[in-house]
Amino acid sequence: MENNFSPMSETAYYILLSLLEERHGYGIMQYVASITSNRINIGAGTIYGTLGKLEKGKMIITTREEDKRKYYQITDEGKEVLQIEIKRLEELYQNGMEALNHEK
Amino acid sequence: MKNRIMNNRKYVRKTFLVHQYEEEEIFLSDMRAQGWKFIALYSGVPTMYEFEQCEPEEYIYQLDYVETKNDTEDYHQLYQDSGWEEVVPWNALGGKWYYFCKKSDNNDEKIYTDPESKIGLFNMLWKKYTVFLAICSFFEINGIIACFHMIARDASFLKIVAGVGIVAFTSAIIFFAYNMIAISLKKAQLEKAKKERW
Repeated sequence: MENNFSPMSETAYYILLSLLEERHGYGIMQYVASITSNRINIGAGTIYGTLGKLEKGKMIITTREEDKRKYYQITDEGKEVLQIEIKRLEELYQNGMEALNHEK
Repeated sequence: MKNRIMNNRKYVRKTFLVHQYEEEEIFLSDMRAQGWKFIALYSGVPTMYEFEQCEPEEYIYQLDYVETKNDTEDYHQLYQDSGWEEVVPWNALGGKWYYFCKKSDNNDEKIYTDPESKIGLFNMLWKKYTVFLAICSFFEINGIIACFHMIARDASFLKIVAGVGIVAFTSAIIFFAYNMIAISLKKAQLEKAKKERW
């Protein structure tokens, strides 16, 4: 499977994460800001562009449109890619913690 | 008695090319800080910006380009939800530029917050310019061929028409090519920034 989403940008990663639950664009922006304690504030242009790209890559789908807002959710393929990415980050983290502990 | 107060207007002629959007954003922001609110845009060489007098305020201006097919209700709703005020649209190359503004609150908020999406925008613009360049080149070549035929037949009036056409298309080609080169340089800059992050 061609994986052109690895390594993933923080934006794409957090968008996929947010869409484990159905959300709309602004909802994603708010959710990501809250779970990163405002470290990551995704801009409207970036959200719109990245959502389009993820949808094209079949990582997410549009579930419905209500009150002029499009709602999205992650697909099974998106979940797979997310899991691969989390594993990659886990390896980075574990090796980091080990190396630091060794230094002591 | 109802009095219609017509605020003072100011007109500024300035040209910003596609890759100079950051300068344009700063320009509009500076004008607002001096008490001039951007309200309209008129085509021309250079382009003309219309401002209305207002209270000096710190406002951020951001530009976005969206193709007609993506110019949907949810696009505008998203910007509205995130607190952006839409100023004016500007038609270009089968799509629109939208000017957005927001009160600054001392933060430097952007609508593009990662290099990937910004590169995506420039890739899209690049493709559009390529299409227009191709179309102009097509007409240019036809015009040149027609010109040679006419020189052979000595049809002076048609020669002038073909000549004018060639000049026009050559100018358009140079314009598009210049923009494409500038966009490429901008993209290269952004790609570099993206790599440096990792």
